[in-house]
Amino acid sequence: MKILVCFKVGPDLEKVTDSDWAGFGPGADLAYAGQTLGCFDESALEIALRLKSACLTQGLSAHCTALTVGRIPPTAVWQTLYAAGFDCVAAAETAGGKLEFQPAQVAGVLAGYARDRAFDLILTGRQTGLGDTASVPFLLAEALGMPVLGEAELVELRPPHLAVTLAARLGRERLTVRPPLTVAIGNSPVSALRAVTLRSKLAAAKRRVEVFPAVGLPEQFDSPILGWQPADTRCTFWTGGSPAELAARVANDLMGEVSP
Amino acid sequence: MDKKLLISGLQALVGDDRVLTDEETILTASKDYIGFRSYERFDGTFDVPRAACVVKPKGTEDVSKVLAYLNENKVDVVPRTGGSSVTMGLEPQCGGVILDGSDMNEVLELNETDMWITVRCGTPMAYIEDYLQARGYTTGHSPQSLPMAHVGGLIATRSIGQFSTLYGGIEDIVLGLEAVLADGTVVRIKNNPRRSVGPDLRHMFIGSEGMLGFITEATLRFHKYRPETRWMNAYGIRGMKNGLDFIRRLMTDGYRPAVVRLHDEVEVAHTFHNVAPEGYCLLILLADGPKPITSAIGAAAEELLKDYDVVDLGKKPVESWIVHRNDVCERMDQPVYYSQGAVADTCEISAPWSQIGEIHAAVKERLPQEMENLVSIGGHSSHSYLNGTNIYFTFGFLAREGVPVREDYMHVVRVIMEETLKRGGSIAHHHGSGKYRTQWMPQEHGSSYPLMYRLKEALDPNYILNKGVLLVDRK
Repeated sequence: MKILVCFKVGPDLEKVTDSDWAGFGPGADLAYAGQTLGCFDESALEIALRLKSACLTQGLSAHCTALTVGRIPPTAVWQTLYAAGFDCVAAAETAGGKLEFQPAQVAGVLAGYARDRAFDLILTGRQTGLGDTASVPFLLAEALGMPVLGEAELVELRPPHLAVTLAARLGRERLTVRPPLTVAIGNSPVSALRAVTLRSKLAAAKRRVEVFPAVGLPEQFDSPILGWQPADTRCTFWTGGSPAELAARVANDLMGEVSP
Repeated sequence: MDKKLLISGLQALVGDDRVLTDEETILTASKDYIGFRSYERFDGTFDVPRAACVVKPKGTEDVSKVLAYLNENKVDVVPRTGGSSVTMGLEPQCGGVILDGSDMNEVLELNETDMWITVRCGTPMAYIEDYLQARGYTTGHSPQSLPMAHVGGLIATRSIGQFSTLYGGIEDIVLGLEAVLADGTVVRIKNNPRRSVGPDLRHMFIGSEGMLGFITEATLRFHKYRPETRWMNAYGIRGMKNGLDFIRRLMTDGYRPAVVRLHDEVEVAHTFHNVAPEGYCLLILLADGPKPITSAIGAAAEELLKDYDVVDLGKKPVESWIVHRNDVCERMDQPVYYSQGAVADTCEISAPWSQIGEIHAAVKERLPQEMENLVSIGGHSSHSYLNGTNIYFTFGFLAREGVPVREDYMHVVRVIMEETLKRGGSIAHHHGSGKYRTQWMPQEHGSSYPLMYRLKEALDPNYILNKGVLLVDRK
């Protein structure tokens, strides 16, 4: 089974200061917050490794590739991916510009990589923190002409099929599907990429990220989905003891007095 | 002593509602956050000696009566307040009593002329800081355990805060205190700026980890709180030893920033997600005080840094650190590392300038050679002095099938202790001995160690108070 996981390393939004939230937009410099894997991407990466292990246990071949668009991921990230069991870590490097809020372009680059490599399964996180459109998995699948499932919690091996557990409106839904397909991982019980030993990272240090230019990206990015109005933007956190109380507070703040 | 008799005796002293005997309360009060215990709790392998009950006194008089009773009956007792221990310091003896002062939480006096505040032992430190800051003051004591810790425990463990390079450790902040001895005697050490009347008796209790008495009240000094005049900046600096050399020069030149932190390249990658360029350490500086002083410290730091390979990262990493520096407390009960099959924790030591870099390097070289399952070993300096600094090691390892995680945990600790002792450093900078570093105390104290037993015999001859901390059992 050939598995591709599309991942992104972005600012650790938990470290963003209040003043930056207040003026938040695509142009914000968040370098000080550090760069980290998105939580859904991390689940997708670990699920891929578990599928690989399951394949090998059952005598099936397996190959895992991790792919990102933008900058080459930090050394600690790519060495961890190799040490954890990925066979290839690839980066479609962009010359400059911001990729946030450019889902169609990002999906296009990912599809360009995947198109001729005959992956059986493409896993993505359902969304990342920054440029949070949650549309890349669907645009990618569309570009490849592949079926796609969103809000998946788990993907397990059931040769020759895959069992996909989805978060459904009234509970969970388990589908048995035949590859190839794309699956976007949402809230998953597989919440973290496995820890790897220093020795395995040392061995992985001999490997390299496969870097190739991201073709097809415009030099100047427009934002087709979101516009940014720098004036009068603000960020507010609402809290409430219950959904009804929270909804009433939001409605009250945004629309005036309402009854809970 | 018979458990029923013990409990009925305690109930007669403090009331039924203040003697808690249910399993959940006892286990919660016995909870310690040392890394392998956290793993064991998620793994279902956690086992700790069961105390007979938890007693929650409402005041000093209750503490006195309870201790006198336990002393008479030779029942082991573990004092506690906030419960943020990471050293097994709160783990009870089987059939003993947990004396929990967390209900003794009250500000007794605010003295703005003499700049001190008197509080009961169970007053949360975060509450005291909020209380003071609302009035324009601060103790300057801000440990990472701030969201959890109470005053009594902070004093008993000789705590330190993140702004210590200016404000000092808890020993510099406690002006006076009240404590109850094992036999129920109440002693009060009065407040004064300085005294020349013999040995400083405050230090019988500061850092005693509850083995010499139960601290019931404390008076803390405070300062003016001026966040608006702070100077702060972050830098990437190449090489841990270079960073330590910079801090040494800053300190020996006479500058006292409140915060001086130097994180090695491992922590930059894992904790700070590469906020500094790869291969660089992260230096965080913050000066507190009147504007002319903070400006002068900032200018001096920047001038000194010209001698090093440095990248200016601006002040935002410091602003972010200020807000998020204690976030770890929110995740203490989450299986963050357990879900990865790993155990992670910290271990802090201190040493003179001439040795600290060697200790850091030796531990980082030795541990990967000895432990195949080591995931990471990093460290940072976060509390500096004229004569040296601390290193706060951060480590993680994968749990091995069939091997108790405590075994590998103690392997890490042993390497850190050995490399520190070999170079004349101190094996605990601010977490205390607890019950897991006790075995190294004879080497730590050398010929002065017997004094510790003499103190114990004078103040707690029945050895009922927090057995297992600081003193190696001679039996």
